[in-house]
Amino acid sequence: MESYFLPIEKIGEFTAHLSNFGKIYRCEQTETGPRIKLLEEKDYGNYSFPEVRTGEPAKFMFIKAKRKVAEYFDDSWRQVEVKKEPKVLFGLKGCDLAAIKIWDNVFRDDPDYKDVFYSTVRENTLLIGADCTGICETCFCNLLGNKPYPKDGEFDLSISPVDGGFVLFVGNEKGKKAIDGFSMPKAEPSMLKKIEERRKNLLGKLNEQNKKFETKSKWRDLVEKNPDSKSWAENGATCVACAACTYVCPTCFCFQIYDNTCPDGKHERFIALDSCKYPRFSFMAGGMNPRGRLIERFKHRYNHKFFHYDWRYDIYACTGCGRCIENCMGKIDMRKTLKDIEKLG
Amino acid sequence: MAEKIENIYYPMPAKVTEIIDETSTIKTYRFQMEKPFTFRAGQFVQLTIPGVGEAPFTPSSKPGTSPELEITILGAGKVTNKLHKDTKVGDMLGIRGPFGKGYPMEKMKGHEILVVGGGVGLAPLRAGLYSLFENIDDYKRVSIKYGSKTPNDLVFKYQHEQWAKMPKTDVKLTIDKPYRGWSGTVGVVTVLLDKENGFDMNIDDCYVIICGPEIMLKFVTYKLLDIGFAPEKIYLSMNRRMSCGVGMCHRCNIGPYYLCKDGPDMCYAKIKDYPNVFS
Repeated sequence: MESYFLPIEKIGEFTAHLSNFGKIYRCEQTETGPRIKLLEEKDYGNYSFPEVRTGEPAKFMFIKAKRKVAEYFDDSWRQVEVKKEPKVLFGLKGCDLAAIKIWDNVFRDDPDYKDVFYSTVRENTLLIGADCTGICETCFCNLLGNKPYPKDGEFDLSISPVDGGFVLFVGNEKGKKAIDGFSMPKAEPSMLKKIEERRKNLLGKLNEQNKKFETKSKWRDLVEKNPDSKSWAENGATCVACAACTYVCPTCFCFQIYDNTCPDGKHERFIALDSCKYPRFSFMAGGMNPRGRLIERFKHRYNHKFFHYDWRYDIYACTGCGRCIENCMGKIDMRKTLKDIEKLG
Repeated sequence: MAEKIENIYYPMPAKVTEIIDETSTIKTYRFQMEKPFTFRAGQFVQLTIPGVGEAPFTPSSKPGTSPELEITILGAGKVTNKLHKDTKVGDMLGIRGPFGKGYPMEKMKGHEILVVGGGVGLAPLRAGLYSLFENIDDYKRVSIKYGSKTPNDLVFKYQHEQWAKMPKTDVKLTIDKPYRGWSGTVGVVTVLLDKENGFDMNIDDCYVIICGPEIMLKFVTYKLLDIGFAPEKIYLSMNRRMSCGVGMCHRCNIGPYYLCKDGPDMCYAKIKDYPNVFS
């Protein structure tokens, strides 16, 4: 893989070069933790590199929590050409990059149906990954085979901090084209070696942190084969169905469609993110509800992530970012729920 | 100029041309589509009431390609009650679809076919019946077992006799409780699967398609298993809450199957071991 050295004093110039592609959204360390910020030109050079992933998931860079998908019966919405608003997503950590694949499978790569709105935004986004240089207590990407650094095939470009700047890796042609015309020296082998060491070290820390949650069985098997495990009731006991977990999850995509009539008589159709934790998620006319009980909905989220999604796409719909643990008011830890299935039976 | 792409959320205009009162709570709506519409028996559509929302229905008209489409609807929720209350002939509604796989018509060829309906559940099955009758030579026989609460709740009454006259076809009706003037079978639809009520299907050579309220699906399935049907031969119309229709919103699943994409007519053998098959 091609790699270059980007000196820290050139970061402003480099970001300005990338702005030829689109607006710059960069993950930055702020007073309230790592956040994705829309940069103005004057801020290009002030880069406060965050050690870990941002508080919010990157999914909101691709979809809004509520988005308009049609006006009917207005023929211009029958087939649509979505307005292109190119953007650069700068500094996504491995967990957020891995999550994009989960969305692509559903909304972009289905052979029969394509969500034109998501697909357009996706195609017009330049993905720049970044290494983690620290870990959160809730991080568990290692348990899912993910890494605290961008994996090959998941980014257009990626950066990794080294003394005096960053090493820039070129992931594909899209990335190569974006840096075309910006001159940088090749990365030194010593820099790459240091990066390797840091990555190994960080992965070691993650392994150490999550050792107690390791299971002998695959998570899919645990979830699929143990619908009556004691772990569900024990770990789900403090769930209050607030849906924070699904909102902050970088992969949770379940939505509802709803319609509205405007004062001028125009009918609009929206898609809004929904949550399987809400009591009415599967509620039907006539009053029947296949998942009326909270424990059924609690189980459902694990089933969707580790069984149903894997069954259909051969990959888990979880990347181990740990945001659901961090934001749960019931202190529910996904790692523990899964471990307890094995432990409690 | 960039290529315009089909918007999967946009409903096609469908004009209401006739409303047939089937019962006091069930109506059949006939639509004129803006262009010929194609669907297979058992596939479903999302019907839009402008500004109110969508609900999923399996058309009750003849499958294939036609500028007309019929949907038979029970008033039960927000969309259907509004539809019954306010929709008039000439109104413009919307339709997305068709979605799903539909009944396994090909697989059923060469076998006996048992069609079991409950209440408005006969509506999706009627599309299946049209398909069966059109190719009746491909099937050994068709037996229709249909039950409703009272004689007044039976849908498509004007067609039952006509169906019974079709070659290799028989129709048996039942109502839940005795009713003045009713001399036919009494009891829930499972009684029509008893030998004493004339049930004579060759179980080893018979496929079943069932549609009705979930409680009915449950007891008919258990009864069929009890009398010796293999789970592989039982197909259930599981018309649960389906929203997107295309396997994206993930609310209609049973186990890993999306009813909207892999159903809504599901082989019982595929779903029987998953939780909440019958709520």
